[in-house]
Amino acid sequence: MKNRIEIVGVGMTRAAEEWELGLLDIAIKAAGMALDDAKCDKVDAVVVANALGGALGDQQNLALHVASGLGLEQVETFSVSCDEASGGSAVRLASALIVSGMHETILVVGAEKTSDALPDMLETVRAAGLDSANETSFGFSPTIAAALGMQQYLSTYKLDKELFFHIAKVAHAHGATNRNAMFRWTLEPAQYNKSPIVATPLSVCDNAPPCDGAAALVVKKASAQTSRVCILGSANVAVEKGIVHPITRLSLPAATESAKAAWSESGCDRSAMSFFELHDSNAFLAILSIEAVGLAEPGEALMRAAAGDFHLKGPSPLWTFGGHKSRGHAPGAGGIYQIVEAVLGLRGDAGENQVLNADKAMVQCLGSFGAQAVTHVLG
Amino acid sequence: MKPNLAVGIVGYGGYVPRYRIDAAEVNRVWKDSAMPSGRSFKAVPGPDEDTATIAIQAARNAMRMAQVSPAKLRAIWFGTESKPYAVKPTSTIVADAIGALPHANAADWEFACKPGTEAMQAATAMVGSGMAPYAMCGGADTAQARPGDILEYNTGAGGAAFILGVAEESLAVLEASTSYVTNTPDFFRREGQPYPSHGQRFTGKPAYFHHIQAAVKELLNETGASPDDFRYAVFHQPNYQFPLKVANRLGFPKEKVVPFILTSQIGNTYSGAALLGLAKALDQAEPGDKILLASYGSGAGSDAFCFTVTDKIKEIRERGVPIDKYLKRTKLIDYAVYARYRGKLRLH
Amino acid sequence: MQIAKSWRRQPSNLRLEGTRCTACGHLAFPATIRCRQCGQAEFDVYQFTGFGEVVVSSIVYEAPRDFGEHVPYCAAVVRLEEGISIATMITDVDPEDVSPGMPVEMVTRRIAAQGDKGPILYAYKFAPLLENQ
Ligand SMILES: [Zn+2]
Repeated sequence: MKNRIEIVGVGMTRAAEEWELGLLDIAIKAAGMALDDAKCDKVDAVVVANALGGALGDQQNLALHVASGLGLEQVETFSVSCDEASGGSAVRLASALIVSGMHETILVVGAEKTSDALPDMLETVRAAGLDSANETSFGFSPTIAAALGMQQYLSTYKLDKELFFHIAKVAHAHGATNRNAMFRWTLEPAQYNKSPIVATPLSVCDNAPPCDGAAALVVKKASAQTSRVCILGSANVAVEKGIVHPITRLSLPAATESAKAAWSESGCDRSAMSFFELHDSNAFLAILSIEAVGLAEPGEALMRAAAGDFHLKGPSPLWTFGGHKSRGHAPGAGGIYQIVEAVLGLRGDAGENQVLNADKAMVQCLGSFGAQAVTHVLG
Repeated sequence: MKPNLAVGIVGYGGYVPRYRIDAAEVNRVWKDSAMPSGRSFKAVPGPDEDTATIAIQAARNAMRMAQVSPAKLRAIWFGTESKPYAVKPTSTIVADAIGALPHANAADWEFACKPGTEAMQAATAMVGSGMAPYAMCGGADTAQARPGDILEYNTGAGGAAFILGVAEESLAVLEASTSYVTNTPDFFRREGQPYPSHGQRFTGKPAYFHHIQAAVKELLNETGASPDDFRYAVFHQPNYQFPLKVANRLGFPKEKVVPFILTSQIGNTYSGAALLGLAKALDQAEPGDKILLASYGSGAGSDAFCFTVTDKIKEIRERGVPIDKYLKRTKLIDYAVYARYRGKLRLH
Repeated sequence: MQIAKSWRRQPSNLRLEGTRCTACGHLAFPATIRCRQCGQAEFDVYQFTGFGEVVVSSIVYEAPRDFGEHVPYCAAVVRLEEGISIATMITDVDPEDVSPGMPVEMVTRRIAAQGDKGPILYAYKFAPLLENQ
């Protein structure tokens, strides 16, 4: 990639129910951490990703308010809302602004505040990223769609539901040592099996827990001799919307194409990746993502998880800080959390969550039930 | 009364929800020593059903049988006392669902349990005057009853729709119809009240019996027919005993009436009751049969009709959905589920 | 209260009307205003038959707002006989009795009512074929 972007600072709040802090507070907190990490007090633009705030009646035009709260004056601000692909999309926008020469240094923040909404309201608002007239208004939500997808996956490949334990297990094994994670414990089969059903066969434990959280990056045009983590390639691909497509086809063409394009731009391929951060807002999208980017053959994601492929010391480490499942799922911020965690892993600053000798990572977030996929290759 | 142009039924359809509650189950909760004797069930609408959805399915079944273009229906008139909207017609929803809009008259009729037969008379007049090639009329209800009221043992849910057209295309031709109406407050529901009030035994002799007998007698006078000329007779059926008793008083033997008393299977479906009975009679009628229909609506009045079945019935009826399909499709629920489905638990 | 939003969907919600592209024949449900296959903008109204079969189903125990009073309900993907798959609810059946391949037909039901004061959304659900019930 000719116009590389380097990530000069990162920050994130713990994923949690932050009763004392509002949406703007956590966004400013994470942004401040990233600016401090970058040792930077001036940026040209602020891009803020948020999926639900507007629909939940929270702050609109968030980027302006974040910039103002940080005391950043004379900056250009953009608010990005692409459902759960907001984080990745915000980084793409920042990259474009830099590559085009419009700006040099940009603060990218992802923030979400879910705990102010009651659960049924939150589920309704999360569903607004689906087709509003044909899916949401008929009572469908990402969770119900995921349940249908899991059922279709299990019956198509003739698998037992218990195998989904291994997906959650990987995430929890890694999240247990992440001090920013919401659920810092390892998961036992008995606990998984008694988890209450939300929509058959999906149980609470197959869904990433909604939480409050914000993560931030400071990015700039990379200098030729930089030793910092860079964006080596990226792509944002949209395909035909509709929950019926992933459910009936058991594939995510947007995820596959977006990964291919990002790898192609980076000049490396899957085998060069030290670890992966994929979109695990629910177990169904998690396994389809795994298969879409080639970490498992179709129908084999659960077996690969059971075989230990995705553990920190396995051949394809995945969700190195616990993913959305164990760290917590702040929908509009998720894509930024993934990148911040990947940067820590590539810097060698991941502590107990470190993948040894990590030098490249692939990060992907999905929007509108997989109809949109944003991939970043970092290294 | 008879139109200038001969008019008849070119298609009909009924609908009854799937759920049933046993009257004994109602009594398990309320322990009324005066509970009606004999085993009986009533139909309960599912949590996603109401009068509009019941009317829509009945209308669709009627359209399927009649095979007429919905654009040729000039009227879609449904009678009910359980409108989903207090203000906003139910009939426009039904008409939209079957594709009959916009060049049609759509209105809701109200006369306790007999607005469907009033609509039938009006539809007869509309077709019989040459104003319309076809008109749809019907009645549907999700009957209301105060929990614990004697009505609760058998307030059911269901409906039926009829498409009227010229006699030549009909499966049954209307010979004559009469109405007998007085100002009798035997049963009523005040605006804004969820449940009706009734005059207990006052709903019998001066109300149900007096009006039906008067309307039917006038019909027999007008047509010169006697009870012997009828193969079947269908009466409004608030319970099992009333239609049997009124048939007896009018001289119709039990066997001509019993097969069309559906109350022990689905309860009193109010505006749907007499019309579902008529649909059931047409389901088994033979060419040449005469059928008597007498509705009753509190407040009070009765409409009586005389139909003669034509030899087209077998061919046309084939295309429809027999009422028996719905009578046999049952899922028994207990009082708790019934209370939930009928919105008797406060959720908001 | 989004009255106009459901009003403009009534042809598809109540009658299962979609569009058929006059240029390429592509069927769309619900109706579209520009053919996603060929880009043309002229359509005939296409009346879907309302018959189809269950592809996959789920019993929903925790529902989004306005749907809680129906739980447990059956959510499904139904493939219409014209080949289009739609997300829909299955009614008139115990949810555990729904299985892939089950023939279903369209019925019109109350989808949501927004409490006691809002507009009632009437639209399609699917039920097992009556002759099989
Ligand atoms: Zn086309």
